[in-house]
Amino acid sequence: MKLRTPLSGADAFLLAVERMMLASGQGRHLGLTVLELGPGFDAARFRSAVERIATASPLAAARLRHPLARVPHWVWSDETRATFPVTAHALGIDRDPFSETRLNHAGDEPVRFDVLPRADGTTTLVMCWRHFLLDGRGAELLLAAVARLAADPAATALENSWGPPPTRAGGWRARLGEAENFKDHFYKNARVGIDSLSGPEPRAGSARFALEQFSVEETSRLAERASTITRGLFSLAWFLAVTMRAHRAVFQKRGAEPDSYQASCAVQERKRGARHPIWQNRVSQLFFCLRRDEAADLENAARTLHEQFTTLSQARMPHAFATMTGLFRRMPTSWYLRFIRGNSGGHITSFFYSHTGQFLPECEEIASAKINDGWHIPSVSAPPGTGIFFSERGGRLTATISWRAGAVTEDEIALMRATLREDLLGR
Amino acid sequence: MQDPTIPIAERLLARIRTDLIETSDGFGIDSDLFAAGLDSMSIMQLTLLIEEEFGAHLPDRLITRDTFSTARQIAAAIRESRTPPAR
Repeated sequence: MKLRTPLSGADAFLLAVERMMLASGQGRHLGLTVLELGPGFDAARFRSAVERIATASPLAAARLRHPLARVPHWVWSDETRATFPVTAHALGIDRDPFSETRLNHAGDEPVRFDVLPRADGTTTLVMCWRHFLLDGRGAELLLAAVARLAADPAATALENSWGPPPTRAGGWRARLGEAENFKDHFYKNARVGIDSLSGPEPRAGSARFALEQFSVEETSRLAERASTITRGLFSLAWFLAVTMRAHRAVFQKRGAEPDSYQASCAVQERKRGARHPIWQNRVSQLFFCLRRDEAADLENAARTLHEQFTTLSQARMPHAFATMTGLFRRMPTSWYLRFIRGNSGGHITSFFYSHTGQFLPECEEIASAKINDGWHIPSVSAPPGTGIFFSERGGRLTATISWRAGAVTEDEIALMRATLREDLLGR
Repeated sequence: MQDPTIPIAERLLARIRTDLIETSDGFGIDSDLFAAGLDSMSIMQLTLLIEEEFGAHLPDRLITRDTFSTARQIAAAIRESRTPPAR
């Protein structure tokens, strides 16, 4: 029997972005999730767990259909089975160069794993995933499911962990009203000048990244420093302000500071602590705009962004954005791209940003090996060409700086990293 | 006499379970909400929920990590925010 699953609003947005990337020689929109494991990794148990979760995830192998003026959807049947390759590599492969290669040459599988052993018995596990099938939290939930199955060889995987997008209350009129609210906010921001480091035109280039990692002591120190503004509660505004200022440093060095820095933050639609849905992007977005003069001082920038966070939340803007992307799913991709690029001078956003919080908090180990550390490495499209993504594991903060080759120079990335570190830790 | 914060805390916890956090068995009004996954975004959603469900606007001085640590602590803050200041 043929089954259909509509794309979520966020999936449809990411599909449009991936099509722009493919058309301009940037490859697929992929993400990596990297785990640093202690000794004792049981490859056979891991492989068996991956096979069980792949078999139970037909959505990952479904075919995409996008009929004119209809919601794009996945088509699959009871017999559809996904395959997630697991490749065990020889000793001596360097993690970060390998990850960069994987980010640019992943093949067509929706998910694949690479196991990189070290001579001291520890292992690096790299999971590569297609972003319009999974978001970062979904990637963590997939790994958590693999860990549970590896811990119990007799366990069966939860069948096809996806769910219909959250139901929006009200009829068409109510939903159009909500979408209007978002559109008004979007157009208001669009009237302020925006720039990105790659420039407005899509450009070919490989996916690159750098990790800026902080020790337990440094992470504790930066949390203490942030708490004067965040009260230990609202870290979102602080990390977004730091990310804006890291980009500002590069624009200033280029001698071309834009009128504003604009970026969005993902708002999870899954309940905290929930085990699923794994598949589909289950996020809405909040859009922030910091004017040039507001970005000059870190504390002022964080306070301004926190005020926007409060106002936008009270106006139910994540709900309005989700409603709008839900309605926009019917648009042909070219129209969709014309809307998001046309209203941002072509840039889409100043940069990409996320803070996914505690990394894989539900798992201490996977396939008998302790998880010592972990982080995400999302690739980014150009435009905007750059992104900074935070997560924390075991009291250690990791910032992944991603960029598209040609969007920024190595010197500019070094400046971005130094500014990030200085703002987070103080002088 | 029962602590008057308990009914508020239980009603609040029911809403948290429905809307925000998937809790495990045994999760109660004294359980740690941060350990269960409370973050910037869900705290903001929680403050909106408190306004809607309890008609209470938490004053700035009560927006602290301590207040949001458990459903009982939040319930106490809701009660405090509803109590008119002593003359």
